[in-house]
Amino acid sequence: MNAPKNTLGSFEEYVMFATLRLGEQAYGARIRQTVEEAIKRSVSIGAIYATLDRLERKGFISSWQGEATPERGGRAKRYFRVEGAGIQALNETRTVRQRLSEGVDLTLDPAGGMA
Amino acid sequence: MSEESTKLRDVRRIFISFRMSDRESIDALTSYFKWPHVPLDDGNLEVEGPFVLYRRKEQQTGTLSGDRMNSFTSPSSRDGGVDFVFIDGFDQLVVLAPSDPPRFGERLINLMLSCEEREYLVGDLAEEYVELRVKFGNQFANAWYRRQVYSSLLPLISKSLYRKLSAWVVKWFRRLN
Repeated sequence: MNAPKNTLGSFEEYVMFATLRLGEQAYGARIRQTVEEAIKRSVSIGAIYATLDRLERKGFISSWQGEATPERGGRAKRYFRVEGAGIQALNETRTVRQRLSEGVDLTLDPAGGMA
Repeated sequence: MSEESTKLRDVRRIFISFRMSDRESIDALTSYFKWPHVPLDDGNLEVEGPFVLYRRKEQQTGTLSGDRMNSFTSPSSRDGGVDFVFIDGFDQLVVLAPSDPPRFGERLINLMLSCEEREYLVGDLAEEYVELRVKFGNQFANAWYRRQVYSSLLPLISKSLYRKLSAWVVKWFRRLN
């Protein structure tokens, strides 16, 4: 059986989508805010960087150093971009989810259990 | 300046470079805000700092021009933890003091990161800290910063351990071969 090699965890998926959404403005603080707004839960910058680091090691994203601004105390930004392998991984993850959820009824009964 | 007009209503952060000729003003601004500044050939100074434009109840923010910014009053007012400078004849302009997040948190983060990573991560935190300070004041921003630091500890420690462990495993395998 040919198992997909590049499936992503949920949080990795969120970070990848946020990076894609932000385009050229994808750097740590903005990615964190985008993910936080989407999942409506507090997200730490450390978790974002740990995930970005892992994704970069896998070749799904790439990064480069940006400009330093006074509001950042003269510190530079690190911008991120999703690479082709990353898009492929997102597609594979989506396929696996679809395959697994096929035929599964997720309707809740009024009591809150499975219908 | 009435209390009404110092309330932050519609905040927008902008960055402007401007020229100043008044020595006293220059010294007060640059030493208080620790802004980057470049001396020009004509004796003026080009200063860059984070400004916050805010809107009064029924008044739109105007456009800034170099002439109107040549004189200003010394930094004195505080509102919600944000430091202001009021430029004479232009009381809608507010100048934000440099970001000064809790030092303990910054030191803690610094312990777990390489120099390069430190620059990006601490820079991101500082940027958001400034935004929150403008919107919600010092107390909220400080609490947010601390929460960010503490909740970042576990992922950053795991990342650092993973790196060390994988380097050790690679080294160990090489030795075996």
